Amino acid sequence: MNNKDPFETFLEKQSFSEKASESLRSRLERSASWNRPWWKNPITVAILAACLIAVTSFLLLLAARSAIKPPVAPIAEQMPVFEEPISIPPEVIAKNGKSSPLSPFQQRLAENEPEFNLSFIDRPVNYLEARREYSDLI
Amino acid sequence: MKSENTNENLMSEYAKNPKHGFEQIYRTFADRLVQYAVHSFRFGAEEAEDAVHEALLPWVQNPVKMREVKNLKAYLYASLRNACLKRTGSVRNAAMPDDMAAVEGPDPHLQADVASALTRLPEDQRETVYLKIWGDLTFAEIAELQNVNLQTVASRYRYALAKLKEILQWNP
Repeated sequence: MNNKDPFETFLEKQSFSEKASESLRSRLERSASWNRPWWKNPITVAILAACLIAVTSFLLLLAARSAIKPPVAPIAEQMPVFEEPISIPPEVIAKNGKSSPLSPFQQRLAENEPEFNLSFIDRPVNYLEARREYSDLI
Repeated sequence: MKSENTNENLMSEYAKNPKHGFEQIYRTFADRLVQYAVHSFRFGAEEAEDAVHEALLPWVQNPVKMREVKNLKAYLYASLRNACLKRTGSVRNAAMPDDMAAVEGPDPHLQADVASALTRLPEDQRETVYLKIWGDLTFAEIAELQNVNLQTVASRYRYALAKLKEILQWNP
């Protein structure tokens, strides 16, 4: 069912004839993103260049810092840590009234000197002679 | 229905290939949009094209966003309407330049008469009748565009047709 007013049909037929000019199309084309890839965008290029410069500078700085040898600082000689010397003589555990520092064993050795003469220790050791001299003891 | 299919096809093409899709959209709508700016807002040629340029600019600059548009035709008219409204303060009542007057078509004199008759309508009625007859928008789309209810649009349209008949002394 077509209930359209004939006047509407009449108006539709009177279509207008204004045309969009070629300049409008070219203006839109110039602004189109597909005609302006990112590498042709000056702002993007400027940002990328700035980033590149920053990274390069940083790397150069790192390289320069690693190339410079740090001056060798004289290391202060550290004194070894000594324990505080004992000023008080050690306590004598057993006292026998004698001033001899020899222990009883050493005392016995001293008394039996001829038998246990250890003076050879102070002499230069000649193993063969010593063996011959003390062969009866070995 | 055919128009909706066309719009869907255009949007589908635009989503696949924005450059090619926009060429088709431009070919389909550019002239009609310029005519809308000229006859509904009584803009001169240059001002009308500036408004159309502003309305179409997002379509070439931001395809990712624009491919989400659902109703292509209504969106284009709405964008252009906004662009025109921004300019109306100074130029809405400008006289139509001679070079933009209808000079081609089935009956150039009749076209000129219709264009002249349109200028004598109140702005709201002129826009309503233009969008309905030459913009091929539905009452619902026009109501959304003008931010009024459906009955208001229908009334404006009816009054506009009656007035045009009177001006043009239409006698079938």
